[in-house]
Amino acid sequence: MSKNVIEFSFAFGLCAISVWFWLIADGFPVSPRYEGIDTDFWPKITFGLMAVASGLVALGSLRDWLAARRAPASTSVNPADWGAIGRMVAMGLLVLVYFIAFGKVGFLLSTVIFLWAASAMIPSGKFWIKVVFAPVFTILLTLLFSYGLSLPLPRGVGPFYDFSLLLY
Amino acid sequence: MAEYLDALTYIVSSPTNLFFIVFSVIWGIAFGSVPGLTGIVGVALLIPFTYAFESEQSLLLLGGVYVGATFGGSISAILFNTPGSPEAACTALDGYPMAKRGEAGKALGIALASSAIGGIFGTLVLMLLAPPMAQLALEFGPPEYFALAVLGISAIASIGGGSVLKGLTAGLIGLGIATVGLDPITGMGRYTFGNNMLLTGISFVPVIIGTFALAEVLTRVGEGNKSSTAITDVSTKLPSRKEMKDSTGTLARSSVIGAIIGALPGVGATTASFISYSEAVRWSRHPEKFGTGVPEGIAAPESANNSAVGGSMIPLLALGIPGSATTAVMLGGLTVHGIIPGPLLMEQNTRLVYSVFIAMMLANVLMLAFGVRAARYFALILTVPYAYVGPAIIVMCMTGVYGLNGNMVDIGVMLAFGVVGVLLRVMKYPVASFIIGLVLGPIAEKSLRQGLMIADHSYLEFAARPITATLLLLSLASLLYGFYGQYKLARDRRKDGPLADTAD
Repeated sequence: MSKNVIEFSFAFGLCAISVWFWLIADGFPVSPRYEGIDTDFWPKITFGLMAVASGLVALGSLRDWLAARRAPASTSVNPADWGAIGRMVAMGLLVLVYFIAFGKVGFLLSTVIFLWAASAMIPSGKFWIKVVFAPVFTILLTLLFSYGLSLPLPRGVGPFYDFSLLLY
Repeated sequence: MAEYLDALTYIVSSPTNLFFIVFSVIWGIAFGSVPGLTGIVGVALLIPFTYAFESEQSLLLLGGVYVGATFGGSISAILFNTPGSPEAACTALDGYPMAKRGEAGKALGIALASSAIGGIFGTLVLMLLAPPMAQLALEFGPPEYFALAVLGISAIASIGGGSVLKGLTAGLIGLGIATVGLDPITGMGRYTFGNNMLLTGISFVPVIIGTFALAEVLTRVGEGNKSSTAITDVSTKLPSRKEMKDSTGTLARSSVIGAIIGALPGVGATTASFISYSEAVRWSRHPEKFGTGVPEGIAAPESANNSAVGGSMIPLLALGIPGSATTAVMLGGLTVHGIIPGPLLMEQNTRLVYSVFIAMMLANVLMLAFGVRAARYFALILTVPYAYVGPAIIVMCMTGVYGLNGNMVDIGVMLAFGVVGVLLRVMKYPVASFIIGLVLGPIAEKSLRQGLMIADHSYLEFAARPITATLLLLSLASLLYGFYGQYKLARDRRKDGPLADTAD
């Protein structure tokens, strides 16, 4: 899939979302007291303009895509870097799992495991430092936030909550 | 003059006072540089300790933290694309690309020198012009606020150096996201989809941390081995006299903008830095280079946000109205000591007021000394392989954002905007425009609607006020200039031939 197709899809998606949000704004309750400047006033301006701007971007991408298809193969191919996208998605999923564990398991355990997993995904640094770094950094951060600044850290739920209570 | 001498003697005669100023600057830099903590938290955490001190000493402490924190945010913004505080978000736009080029030390030096110059200017304005500036701030009604916001927003067409339409779209996405939550006039919920947590709107801090920091880590992980090499040149150096001379116009303009915007109640340093950045783009001979790591892109927001610190103290001390979120917390600190800020304070408690002026001036000078050292230590982190730094940044962001309100929704917002940030970068939509829309959107909306209510829905009456008309005309000129710049760029590219396009 060429970058032009991805650009077109993205801009078209933005245009569609803008139209949808404009329609939602159109359904906001109105009051005669605020006639002319009601709840829908600003969102309609914003999303209306956004639909036009993103629609024009989509048209431009479509034009470039069609022009690229007509050009010789060596210059028209502009492939997306799927390897980079794959690595980004993998890290994104790991962060998502960390987010869920952050609330359910608590700060200490989730952070140590996340740091081990995330540092293993990035190809640099020594293995033994990665192993040591995760617990040391987590403990230092716990000391700073919980004891030094008295700021809240998530404690998790159930047995994890009890475990966290013992430490911070 | 006698008041200044009395206040100076008071500060210098006590080692405790001098220690408080030094401590508060270091404390402020530390809080400003950690994402999510911000200067507000730094000030708020110190308030309970100020019970034990004299009211003058308390205000020295809080003022110093405010000065230090405003600069501190730029350190992590430049080194890791992770703004430590909202006002430093704009600094990341050019600071981080400069650091990526191996010029982290230079970028930090520019930020530091600009912060000190802006801070000293803002304090001078506070010392010399507090009553007239407070009066000018009162002249600003909703139409003027709207025109000011439009002036900032209009620069989105010139930012990024790419497509004007993409810049506008990104700005409008920011404006659109700012509409989520309770309507500021009618109180109706908008785009909450039944989630009560969204009624308060989307918090700015999780958004900037997600858009800048998380998106940066994800992008660098995507780059794989290409980005895993550590940067080794991390020496912090202040800009040379010639470099400073080249930025004189930017520094002077941004400092003035910062002081004026800072003095406007409810606007603050973040808006000042973005409007100054917009103006720097507008006045630059090479607006297309902004966002790629130009010194003016760092000097403008840093001088403005530090100048706004002095500016925001004007309405606090002269009128009793906080000019920013941090001064609102400081107001709490003052009332703890039974001090009611306002016109009478300036006349009856001169030692307190003038001590603050002098302490803030000293704090700005001290910031130069401590900032170089702090930036040098922070910059050493760049030598550490990204396998440790990247995941650690994510953990710091999650912890900092959670610490704001102690809820998971803020972290969810941060993650969602991490994805938005990656998409904007990959699709080449300028992040600067998006953030400008997000910062200025609420001000523009509220003031436009309030202004129209006051003007009885007459757009003509609304725009006929002198300050409003001037600012709106400037906005229109900026928009047209942005389009002309794009036209000229396209024409030059056509002249250069297809080779230039291929190179692009």
